[in-house]
Amino acid sequence: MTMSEFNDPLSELSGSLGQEYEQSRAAQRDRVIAELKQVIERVPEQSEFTNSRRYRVWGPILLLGSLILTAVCFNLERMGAVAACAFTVFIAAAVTWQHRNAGTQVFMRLTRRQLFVDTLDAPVDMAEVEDVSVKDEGLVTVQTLEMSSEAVLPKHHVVKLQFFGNQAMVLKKPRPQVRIMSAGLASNGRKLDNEEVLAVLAAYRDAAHAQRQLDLLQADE
Amino acid sequence: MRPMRNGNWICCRLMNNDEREAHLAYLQAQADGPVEGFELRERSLGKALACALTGLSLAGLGTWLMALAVLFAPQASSAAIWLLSAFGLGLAGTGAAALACAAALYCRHGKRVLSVTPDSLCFANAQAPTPLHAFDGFDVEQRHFSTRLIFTVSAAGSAPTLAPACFKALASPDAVAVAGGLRVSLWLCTPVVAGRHIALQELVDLLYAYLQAAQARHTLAQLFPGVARLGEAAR
Repeated sequence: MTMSEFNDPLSELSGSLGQEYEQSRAAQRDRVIAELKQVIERVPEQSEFTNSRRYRVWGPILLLGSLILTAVCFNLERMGAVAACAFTVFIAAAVTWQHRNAGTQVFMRLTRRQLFVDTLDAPVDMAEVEDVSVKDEGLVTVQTLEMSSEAVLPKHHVVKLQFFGNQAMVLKKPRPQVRIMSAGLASNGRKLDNEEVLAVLAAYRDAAHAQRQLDLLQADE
Repeated sequence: MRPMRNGNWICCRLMNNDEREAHLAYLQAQADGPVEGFELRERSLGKALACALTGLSLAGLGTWLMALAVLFAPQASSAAIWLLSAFGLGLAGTGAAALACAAALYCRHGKRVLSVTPDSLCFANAQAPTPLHAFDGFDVEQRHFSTRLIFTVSAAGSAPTLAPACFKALASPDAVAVAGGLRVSLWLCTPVVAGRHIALQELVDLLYAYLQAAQARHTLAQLFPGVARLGEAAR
């Protein structure tokens, strides 16, 4: 199929085309609305996310390991080594304690319009999200939402002295973005891998964009 | 690689005649895609070989260490013997796993990953081809040892029915549905089309051309049914 084959029938068509188009415009509008609704209804109205139980498992193992190490190294003449071991014990104990309820507390909520994170003072408008990416190198999962340049960014507050805690960060430079850090991500008690998180975030972003389109369309009426 | 987006929604606002014609012309130009299909196959012989060599050497080393342990059992202390044999066993185990991987990779060699026609796309473990317009876009990700293909299923389309990928998935390039069918992803070693290795960018361009044309035809059929019918006749 080449363009030259196409142009000929087109010239005679163009007159009737306008009519056909006008007639079908109402039908089209309905179809577009149906299509937008499909995009919106593809995701649940609300999804809740917790962190994963990663450190609830690894914390005690780390604690046990560092305790054994301390016991092996214990020697009053070498206080430096003992102090270092005691420090690792302290850290491991802190991680274990802080993650004792891991996987039960919801810290992030997605709706078809907004994203709520505990440490952000205002919800993020998902329709202002342009691109999402997820990275996990074994310690924490980082979800990065690239925002459009005219988006109103919320403010974050830092949770201090939390090891691998749930944090959010709002950056204005170089590009406006929101980063959400957590020890893995789980939904309804099921751990999500990076690809799933990305798919879910992208689906919610699409739903929010569709919702905005739909609002605009219905405002036209 | 950035995914592409389906541009269906722009058509919902009121258009004047010029805009409409421009849009029609644009869609027609886009719809004019590749005519013949292609098969994406996988080449994994090199990786299978590398894996087999590593596995063999590890297994050999492990066996040798265990043989040493047996040989020196009467003289050496029992702790040293235990350490030696445990280490040897570990190495031999790793080697055996690597050999199994090599066998699986060898099975993958030359298998069909995707068969693409101008209107449909069929995964290796799908029962039936999926229409191309059921996909919004795709991502291609180059990793150290593999290439990953992720297709985004559009809201109107539905993910293809895939045979469950189990342990055997290592031996064949099976696709899996991600997050309840929002996406479909698969990985392959080296992409080959028509017996020739293709680079990442070539693969992206190739798939993009098919997907874009199929989507444009789909949109055309929805917005300008008359023109789409003519197009079908011309093909």
